[in-house]
Amino acid sequence: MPQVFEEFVRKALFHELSPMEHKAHPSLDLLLKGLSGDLAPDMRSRLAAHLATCPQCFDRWRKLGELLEEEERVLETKAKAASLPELLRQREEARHINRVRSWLGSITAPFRLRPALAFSAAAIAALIIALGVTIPLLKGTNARLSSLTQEVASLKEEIASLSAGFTIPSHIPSPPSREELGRLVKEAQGIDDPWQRSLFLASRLSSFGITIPASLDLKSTRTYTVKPHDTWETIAERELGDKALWTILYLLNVKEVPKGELSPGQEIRIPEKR
Amino acid sequence: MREERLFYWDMLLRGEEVGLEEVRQLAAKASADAPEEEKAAWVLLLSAVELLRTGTPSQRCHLRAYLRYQISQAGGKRGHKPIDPRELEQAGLDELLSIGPINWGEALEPCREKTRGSVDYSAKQRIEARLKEMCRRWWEELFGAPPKVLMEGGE
Repeated sequence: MPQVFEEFVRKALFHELSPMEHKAHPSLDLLLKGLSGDLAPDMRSRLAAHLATCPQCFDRWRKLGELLEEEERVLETKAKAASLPELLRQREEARHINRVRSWLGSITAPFRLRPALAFSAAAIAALIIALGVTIPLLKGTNARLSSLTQEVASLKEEIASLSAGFTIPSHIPSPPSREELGRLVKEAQGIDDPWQRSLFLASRLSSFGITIPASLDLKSTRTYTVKPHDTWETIAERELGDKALWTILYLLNVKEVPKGELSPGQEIRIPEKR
Repeated sequence: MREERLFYWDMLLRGEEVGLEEVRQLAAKASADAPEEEKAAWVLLLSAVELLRTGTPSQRCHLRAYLRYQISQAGGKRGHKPIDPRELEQAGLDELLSIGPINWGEALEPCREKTRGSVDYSAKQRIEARLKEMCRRWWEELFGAPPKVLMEGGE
């Protein structure tokens, strides 16, 4: 009968767990360590074996456990209460905001009571703002306009001086070197507008002693069709009156004739004579 | 010696390994003239140690549930702490006694996932039968002829 065996087991275990006299008892420290799980497995089982047969220690251990649990609950509550200062701070902030709101309310109260007064005040404020914004803007625009006018005037003077000083030289005192000519070619190639290009060339070539003759109008150019056996020099001599001016011709057309190789039927630009 | 046995019971309940030979040597010191309860206690402990070492995982789980159940019943109403099923698997003697008597379903809680949540009452009978068989063998080995209770309903 299984029930009989269960009786056998229960009797055996009842015998095991029945109270007995102990010569020594665990210290408070040991009990506390046991409750907090700080004991090694061996010590923990020794303590459990003692508690199972010592009602006094078992009661003490149980009460200590209850006290510890209560203490943990208190600590948890205290931890939650730590947010109380934060709550007070938030309330204080809210109070400050309310104070500002009420101050603003006291200022705007007359306007709320009299809409016409509010409208007039708003119109005056808008006018002040508009004036405050527009006047500095106008001042700034005027300043920009005057500086641009000055810039245009100085450019005009520069152009006039450039065109006035042009004379036809009988020879080139210091012609550009290959490298310098190469740089000029590169820079001239970067300028698309022929007028700008001619101005650029006039200013740069003058530094080499090559001046654009005043008789030549670089503002207006005409088309010239290259004939057989034409070179830059022969064209310059025939069309401009000085073969030394071939560089001007070449540089004027450097965008269209990058390598400088002329071929019959090709069209190049030549400055008009005044 | 009782405190020594209880030490091993606590180890077994918590899932700690206990040496069979170590316990057997202690049990062998017990005199043939010792009270029946003492003999029964040694035999039961040895059987539990052996079954927890040699049994299948299911048998081991059911045996530990059986021991939890019987120890809590034998301990009486010493405590009334609420049961936490998550802690029951690792509960030692002190925790079990502070909980107080538990039923088979509660004791079996840590094995429940293996039985799809239902309470396996037949598991208790199966583990009892196995335990009884081992107790008889150990009694014979240590103390000679086993008592009638271990012979009834035998193989």
